[in-house]
Amino acid sequence: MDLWVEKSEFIQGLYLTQGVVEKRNTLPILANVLIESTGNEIVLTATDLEVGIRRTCKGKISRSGTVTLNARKLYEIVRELPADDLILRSGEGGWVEVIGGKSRYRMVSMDPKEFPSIPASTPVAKKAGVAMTLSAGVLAEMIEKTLFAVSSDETRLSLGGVFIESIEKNQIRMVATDGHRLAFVERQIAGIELRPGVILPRKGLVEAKRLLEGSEGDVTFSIAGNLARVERSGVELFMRLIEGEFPDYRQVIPKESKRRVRVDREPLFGALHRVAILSSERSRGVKLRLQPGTLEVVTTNPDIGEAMEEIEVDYTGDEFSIGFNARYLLDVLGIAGVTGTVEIGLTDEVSPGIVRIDDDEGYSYVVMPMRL
Amino acid sequence: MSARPRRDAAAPAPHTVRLGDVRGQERAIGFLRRAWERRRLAHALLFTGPAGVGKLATARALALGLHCDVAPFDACGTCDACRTIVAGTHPDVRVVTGPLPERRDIAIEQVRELQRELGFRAMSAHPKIGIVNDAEYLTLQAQNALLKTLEEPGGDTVLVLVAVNASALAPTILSRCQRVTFDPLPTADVVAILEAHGRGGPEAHALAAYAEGSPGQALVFDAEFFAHRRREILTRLAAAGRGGFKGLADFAQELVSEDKDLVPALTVIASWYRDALRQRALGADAELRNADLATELPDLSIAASLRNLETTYGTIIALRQNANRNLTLVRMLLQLAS
Repeated sequence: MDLWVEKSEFIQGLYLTQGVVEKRNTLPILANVLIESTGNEIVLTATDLEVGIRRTCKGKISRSGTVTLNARKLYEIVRELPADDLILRSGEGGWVEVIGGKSRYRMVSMDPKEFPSIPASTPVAKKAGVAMTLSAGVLAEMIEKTLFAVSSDETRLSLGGVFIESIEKNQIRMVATDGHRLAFVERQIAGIELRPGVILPRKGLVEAKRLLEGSEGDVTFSIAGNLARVERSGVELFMRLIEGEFPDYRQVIPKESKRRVRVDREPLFGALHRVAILSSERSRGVKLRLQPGTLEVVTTNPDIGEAMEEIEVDYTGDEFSIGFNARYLLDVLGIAGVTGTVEIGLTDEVSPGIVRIDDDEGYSYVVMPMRL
Repeated sequence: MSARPRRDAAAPAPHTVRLGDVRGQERAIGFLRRAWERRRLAHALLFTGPAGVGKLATARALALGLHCDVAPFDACGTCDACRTIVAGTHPDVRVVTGPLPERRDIAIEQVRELQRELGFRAMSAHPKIGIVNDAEYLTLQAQNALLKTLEEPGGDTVLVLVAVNASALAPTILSRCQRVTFDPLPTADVVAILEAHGRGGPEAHALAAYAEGSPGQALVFDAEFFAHRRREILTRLAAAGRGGFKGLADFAQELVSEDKDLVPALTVIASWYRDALRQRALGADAELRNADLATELPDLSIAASLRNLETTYGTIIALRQNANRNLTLVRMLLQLAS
């Protein structure tokens, strides 16, 4: 391999690999980035067998070839090099020279044959599977609004990801739950359909969010060969699908609530946040006491003390109180971009509460109450 | 021998080991082949048998055999599946190689990690394969965590547990696995394997006999130790008895300073009395571990050989329990000499 590439182009690709490469270091080759060069394209691939990223860079290739180099070290070297462009050249005995200006580095390449093979995304593959185009912003928002509710319980693997499906044409849903709370988002997008649904892994979505945050315009989301892919110009993020059935979330979402409270996000978030300081470390339980016009957020912890904050709310029903894990409420109130009004629907002390934010009809957050 | 073979020392450089390359396990592999041909391969298998006879090699080769499209139930060695399975980077074939460094058991976290890795939909059109080597080192919690996966692994999955000592596994694990037993190899096969690894020569037979049909054990034995130290120890043992108390004490001192790990030295001494016992009981037909030194074997009664064997093994146990090395050895040698 012998190639020339602009540093800025190359470093962008290497940057994307950093979140993906294996950190546990059980398989050294997975800490490497695969660099393939043919024609005038350089393709960088990194994977930890769960999530992977592939970035295509433009360059001049005088001798095509494939090497694998330690992703972190290469990134650090390239980032620091005082040069505008680089030469990568493989030599005898698995050595690869990285040359920028007057700096020369030699790195050891591991055998590319050991690198996991990931089927490339091709139009044929997409045709066999499902592919859809949607705005990067919408996909990022849907991930943001569900990802935090994914279970971290290692014994319930099918809850360890976000379920994505369409119930009808031109509509897409994402759902995540850990058994205590559930986040549901639905958007109408022309030309979209995904049936049956699939479960996307948490790590893949964390990386997808990272990728989408810097993107404008449309991205392609596709499912083929048990891989989900998010693609934008020159970058392809792929993630494996989680096996198993996602529970029937529709049963969990209350159809209607007897009591409705409307409240500004800011004061509620603040009150919960402060009161939770004195709640029990383990359960984070706080009590919401409702009276017409006011909401009291209360906690009593015999070991440390008690707290009470009162905020004004739009509520006209009877006196009522219910306990919740403060963290579950703070999670939904803390979603980036949520600024306006929050509506909480409650029925009784033991029925799940439902939170809607910013009058978004397509979003529901269901949270189970606690006995306090 | 010591509780666990030093596997890393014997681990060959990654290369394709096919089911057909596993020597001396035709019965076990034939069983797996018939099950595969009838599409009746169990989803939970337990490979048991002595250490170093090819259980893990068979499990890995089985993964190749189930995944290689070019050569089914064999391996072409060059396709993507073969290359990545051998390299350990095939997403559908995951292996727990044993306890983590610095640990004596396989922790529940390792089982959870395996379950997570197998919790994705298969990338290939073949079953996902999870291998747990040294399964007897699973902690009880780890075993319990594994139960659910053994019972109903998600999707098409084959779990292979590899264990020397299956009785260390919970009955709930055993009842969920189809058991495949692996036999010790005939000494001639072990010698052939040693030769194939460049470890032939006059000591190969003794090494093979010591390894009790386990090529893996034979390969981790220190050849240098066998070539020189074994003879030295046995010759000195015979001489020490004639040198009175001083001779025995000197010999004990020598063992303590020469042999950092006393277990191999004591195993050699035990083998000496085992040979004496076999020769007395079986006569000229006896297969001896120290066949090359047969002429120097002591002529002991069966009772005396047994007593000496007991003394030697008792000493190995005592040393494991951190007894004073020098004193314990002197005591042992005195008893052996009496």
